[in-house]
Amino acid sequence: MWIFGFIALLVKIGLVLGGLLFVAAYLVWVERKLLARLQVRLGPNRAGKFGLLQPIADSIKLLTKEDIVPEAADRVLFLIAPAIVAVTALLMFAVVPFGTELLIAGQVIPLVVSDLNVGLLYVFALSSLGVYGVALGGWASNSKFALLGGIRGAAQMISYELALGLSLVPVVMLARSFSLVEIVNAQADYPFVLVQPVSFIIFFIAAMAESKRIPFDLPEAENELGAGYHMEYSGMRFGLFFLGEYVHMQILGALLAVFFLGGWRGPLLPPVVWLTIKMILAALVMVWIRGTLPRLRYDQLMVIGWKVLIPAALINIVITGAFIVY
Amino acid sequence: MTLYSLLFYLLAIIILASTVMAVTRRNLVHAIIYLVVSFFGSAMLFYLLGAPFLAAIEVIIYAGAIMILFLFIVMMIDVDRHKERLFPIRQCLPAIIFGLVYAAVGLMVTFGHSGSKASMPIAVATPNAFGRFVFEHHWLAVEIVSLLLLVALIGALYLGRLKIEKSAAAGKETP
Amino acid sequence: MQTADFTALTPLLLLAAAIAAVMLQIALKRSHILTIVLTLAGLIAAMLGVLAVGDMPARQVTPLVTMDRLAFFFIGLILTATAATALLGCRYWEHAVGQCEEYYLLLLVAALGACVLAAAHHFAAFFIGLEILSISLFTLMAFARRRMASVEAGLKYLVLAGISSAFLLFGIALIYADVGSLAFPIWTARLQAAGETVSPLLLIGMGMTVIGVGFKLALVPFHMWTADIYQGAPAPTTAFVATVSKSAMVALLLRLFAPVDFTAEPALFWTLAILAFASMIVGNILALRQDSVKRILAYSSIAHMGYLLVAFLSGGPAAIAATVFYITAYTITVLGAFGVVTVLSRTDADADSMSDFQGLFFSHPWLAGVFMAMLLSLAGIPLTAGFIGKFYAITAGAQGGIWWLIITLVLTSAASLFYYLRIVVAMFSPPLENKTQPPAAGISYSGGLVLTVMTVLLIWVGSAPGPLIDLIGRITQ
Repeated sequence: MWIFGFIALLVKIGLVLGGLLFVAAYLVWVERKLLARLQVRLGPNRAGKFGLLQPIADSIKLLTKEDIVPEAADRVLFLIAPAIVAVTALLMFAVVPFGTELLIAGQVIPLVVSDLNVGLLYVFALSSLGVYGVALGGWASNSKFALLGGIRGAAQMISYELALGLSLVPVVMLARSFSLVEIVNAQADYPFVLVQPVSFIIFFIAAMAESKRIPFDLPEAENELGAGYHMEYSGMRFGLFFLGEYVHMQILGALLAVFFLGGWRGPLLPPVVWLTIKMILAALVMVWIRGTLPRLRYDQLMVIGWKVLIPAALINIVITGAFIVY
Repeated sequence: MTLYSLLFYLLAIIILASTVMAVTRRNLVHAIIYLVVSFFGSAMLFYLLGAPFLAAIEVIIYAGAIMILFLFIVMMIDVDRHKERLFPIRQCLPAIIFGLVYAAVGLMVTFGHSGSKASMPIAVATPNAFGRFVFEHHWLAVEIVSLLLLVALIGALYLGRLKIEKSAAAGKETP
Repeated sequence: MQTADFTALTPLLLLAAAIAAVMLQIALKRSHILTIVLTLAGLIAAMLGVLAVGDMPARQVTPLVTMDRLAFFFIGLILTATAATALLGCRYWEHAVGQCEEYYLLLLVAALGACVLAAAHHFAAFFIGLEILSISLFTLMAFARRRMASVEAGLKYLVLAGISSAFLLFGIALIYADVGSLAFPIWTARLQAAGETVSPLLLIGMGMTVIGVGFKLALVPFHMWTADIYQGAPAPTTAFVATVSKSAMVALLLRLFAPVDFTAEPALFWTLAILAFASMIVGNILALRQDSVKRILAYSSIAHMGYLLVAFLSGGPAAIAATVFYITAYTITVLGAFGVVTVLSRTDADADSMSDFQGLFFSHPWLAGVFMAMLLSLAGIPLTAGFIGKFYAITAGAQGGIWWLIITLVLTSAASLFYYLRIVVAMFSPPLENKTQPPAAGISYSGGLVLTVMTVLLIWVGSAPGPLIDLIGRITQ
């Protein structure tokens, strides 16, 4: 019956990818609308009712635009870089559970693409590989602004990855597993945000820094660097960077839900819906913050990462450990 | 040939090819990228051999952290993009000699050794089991290695703290 | 994890506690005096720990280390040498760099690495200990950051130690492929059982391990780093490299190869014998041509490790005892010699050239006397520790019947007198007219204390070696 399992797997992958891309497209719309409201504007309102067709118009535009590679660029790396960003972001979703098992025709189908026993580390591995997309994109463009953006991006993501990882150690300690499915199972009684509020805040801040959004958007700071690491990109390659960012937002929302908010758990509504609601809520908060806060200075960014978040996360680990042992 | 061994040889070829490319590239950024591919391949190999924890750590630490720091430095160096030629023979020769020695040793391990016929049992070390083993049997090693990391940190901090000392020295010398 | 484990590890635990205490103290409030006091307190506590548990039966703690009498003896030696280095550093660092508290922290960690090496029972412990020691040493060598020579020394050591570590690791991997275990006893048993038909894999692995050990001991042909690093590194660091790093490695040498019967293993014997022979010849010949005191001491250290290998290779009943005695006497002597160099150093550069020592007798008669005693001990003149060490080595070698090595030892020792006496002659020559002598205030209480203790030990061991020989005899049973 492995054929059946294989087909089920393919279907799951297809659904997840389709869902991710769809939500990514409409997340852009939501962000633009919401941001416009926050800034007392109207936002996109021409394509379709409320501008609902805007994402489709945008993607057609990006797909049909000319794909320009600068003359002095490192061609191969320049072409690969956006794909790295998008692919690593999409692959991360493989370990996120979106429900318990499903019974179809006597077959048990777990509602997760792959339940790795090192799921959490898998997420980190992919997110650390994602840094290459930013760094290489910046370097391969052979432009000073892009290079500066790439270097900033690499420095920022490396710094905040530490805080991100350390903030999750207490969660792993409580759940006694790296597997995302097990972590959700461990929150059957109460979500971890109630016992780990410090971890939750550190994770949320670090996650925003990882997705390079305001107030952490130094790699693409438009008034200093033009557009930073993706300055020289056009057409769909730019679109891939863009897609990567919005998929990243979703995945971070999903991880936030899985690690702290009980994942797919929730009353009444089906699990998938609960996970989506939590995910979108997290993304909306990120948009809200983008509309509210100014950008950090580079030294402030580093101070917050190294001197505030990491020590706080370490102390949190020690305290959690003490509580678990005694 | 089973799927398992097919995957093994595929990964081995990827690792070997990318490592050779990493060693021979003159463009440092390209060398680093090939090295990252090589580390990634090794991680896959670890996973295939039943050590998922090690595989994840390999990617996170080697491919994700150390190589990014390399890239960080190299990106700021102005590399000559168009001269992709081999190193002069003077530099290659010792490498070739050592390479041949290593190849001979490798062949010896593969063919000449009596134990080579025994196949290893396929086992999976879960993160849990791995952690238990390390902290129950090698707790002393863990502690000592932590000191190793500590001293590297202290050394790097001391040597990297040039600015403060210069200003302190300047302050001392002026009056 | 039992109480007995922790009891056996007492000295290491106390040392680790000292590291933590010093680190916290530096983080909270920088104070040179406080750091020195804490460092010395930690070292003395660890030494007391050695005295308290040193007589206990050997105990293996995890597969990694075994705490037996040999380990405790070497740990004691390492701790003493570290304390002496720390004391020597007091005055030296006060004005040489802006903030120098990290020096003591690094010394403590390096000492811990050396202790792990001394107690190693497993290739993993060997490697980890070696790396702790090496990484601390890079920084200790480059510690005087404003001197180019110091930074250069650190960098050179970093690169070369990295290469030697790579060899060592590859060797360890090959040994593991052949033996299937990384524990020392299993390895030596395998070597013993194989006899002359040792597999090529094991042979290459062994050769690579010898490279790793030879690099640290600075045996010819792995000695290239020695002179530059001895000269470039700050004098207290050089003292540390020459004593702690060497004695830890000798302890490891004993653990690795002492259980092997050399008559059954000619390959290993000849490898080490040729290294010893080359070290004695090359070290002494190169030392003859030097004009820098630190370089002379560097090349003499290469030669001395050759002498030590002669004692070790004799394979007779006295081999281990002679080796241990030799390294002890050598440690005392070298600490004294570099102590004098440190004390005479100025803040901008170390006392190094012959002219720095010219006429020392007339400005600092005591220092000149101490330095002369140390040099005579290195040359192996009677009534010094060095003489007994060499005598012991020759006796052991005679028992083992390795006459060609003994003859080399005697001849090269005689040649070595020339360069040691050159320094002595310089010290007793009239001072140079235009040379500004180092200020008399340069000799601190701490430096004086170290020099006094080392001189007393030197003469004591040299004239009445009985107690030390008894102690070593008890250890090496």
